[in-house]
Amino acid sequence: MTQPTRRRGVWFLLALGVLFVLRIDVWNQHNTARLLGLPIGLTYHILFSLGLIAFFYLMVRFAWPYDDHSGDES
Amino acid sequence: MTIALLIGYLFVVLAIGLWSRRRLSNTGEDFFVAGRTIGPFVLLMSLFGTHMTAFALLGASGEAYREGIGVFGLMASSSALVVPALFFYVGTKVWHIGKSHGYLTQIQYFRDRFQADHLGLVLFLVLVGLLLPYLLIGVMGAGLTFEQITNGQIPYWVGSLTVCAVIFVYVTSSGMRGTAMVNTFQTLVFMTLGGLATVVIMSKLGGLGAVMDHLQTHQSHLLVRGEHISPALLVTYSAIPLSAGMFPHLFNHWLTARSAATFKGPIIFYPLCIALVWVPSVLLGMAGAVDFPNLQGPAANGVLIMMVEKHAPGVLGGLLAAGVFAAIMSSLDSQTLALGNMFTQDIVRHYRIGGEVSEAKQVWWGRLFIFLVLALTFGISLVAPRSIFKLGIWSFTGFAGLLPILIAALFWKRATAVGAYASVFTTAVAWLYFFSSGSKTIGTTDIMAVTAVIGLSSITMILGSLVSKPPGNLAKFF
Repeated sequence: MTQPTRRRGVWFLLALGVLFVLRIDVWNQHNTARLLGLPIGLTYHILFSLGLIAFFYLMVRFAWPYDDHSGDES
Repeated sequence: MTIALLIGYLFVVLAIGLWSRRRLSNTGEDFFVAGRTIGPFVLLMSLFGTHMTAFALLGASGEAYREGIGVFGLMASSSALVVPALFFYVGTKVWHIGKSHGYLTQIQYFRDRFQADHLGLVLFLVLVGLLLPYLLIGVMGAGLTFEQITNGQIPYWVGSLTVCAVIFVYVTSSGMRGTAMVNTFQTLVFMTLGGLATVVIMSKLGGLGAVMDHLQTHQSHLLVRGEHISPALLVTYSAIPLSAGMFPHLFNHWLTARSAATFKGPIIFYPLCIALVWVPSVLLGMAGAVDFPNLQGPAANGVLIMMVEKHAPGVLGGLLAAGVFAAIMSSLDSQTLALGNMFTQDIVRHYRIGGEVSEAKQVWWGRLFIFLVLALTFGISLVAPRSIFKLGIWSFTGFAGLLPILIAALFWKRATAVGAYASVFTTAVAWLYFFSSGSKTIGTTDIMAVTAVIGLSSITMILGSLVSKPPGNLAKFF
């Protein structure tokens, strides 16, 4: 694996840690407001899950550790 | 009508499984990991369908009935974050090593990586011990669901036996290739029908807004996480999806990928699949509190079926029932195949029982073990108490506790067999301690016991490795 790819993999690992923290939405613990027709505590986690699609796309795009043709670590 | 649709569904499943047989070549690699030829879409569907048991539909709606919206954050968004990350960092590496060295099971890798034959046997026993209750829950769940959906016209044992028989036919006839194709179909079925059920039932109840207004007035605690799902629980529950890294059936599916790049789609779209299944389950569970406000204990787990019976009888009800079976069977088949694979590769082939095991003989043994596993599970399901459903979370806890061994084996050159033994032993002791205490959390806190099990397992893996000498074959793996 090349150094830049390995470094980006570590950065994305750290970003996963940040996302882990963002998932713990203590600010919605008792919030009864609604967003998009649903309780905000539910909407937040749905949007969070859908946002992960973009995150993992970027992870695969910029920190993919394998050569697509040979399958070996690049 | 419901019974006819269910039987029709099972015939479709059988047809797909048997159709897949035409491409089967009689080798162990083809039977157990589909010759490592599975593409991205089928890999995504089979990984997701295998990982999501009936719990995602029935159990989650029951939990949402009791706990409300917090269930999604607790169980779904944690999986959406953790599982694709596991695929990225662990799954692709496992695939690469598996392909390079021809491994078909976890145990083969651990035996080779740590140069420890007996460690393989210990891990085999632990993994089988953790997987069997999980399998049993699926078979029992199938029987109970059959009985409930048909209002007792089909008794529990007939339902369980039917599902076991269908799985036996298509798994033994076409191995992983058929299992992956059937899983793809079943995953599409339960994802589609879950969404359809939500739309139909919500509109019958006056729309989403009316349901939320009703809950706001009568059961407002369901619309916030509140005190029943604390931040500590939300944080530590995230350790449960780590179990996916050690599930033998997911490991098997990882090895089926055509190339490393095949993982890209599953990694990106796994969170979407989670949302597509869990949002309907949670919403329908909460809507159940509008129609059936006083369900107590395990009865709440049947709320989804009750909602379907009340609001979507006839054809739609039968299709939705098929969706529930899709979720049950898409896990059961892969678990059964994984156990058949482990018995064949890690016991029969490894110890050369009956002499050298040819490729064709591997398939023969695999089929025999699949039959024995299903027969044993069905037999136990007839006498096991229904409290066994509580074992599900403990099965996850055990698998998660073993994950440090795999992480260390893949990424840490200094990891040794002594560390792995220490980790297995610690996981077993900690697991037994928390299991016998009967509490999923530590003491009176909201901290999940699984975090302590993983922590202790990791520490002993590190300490055990540091006090022993690494194996001399590192160049093979790093």
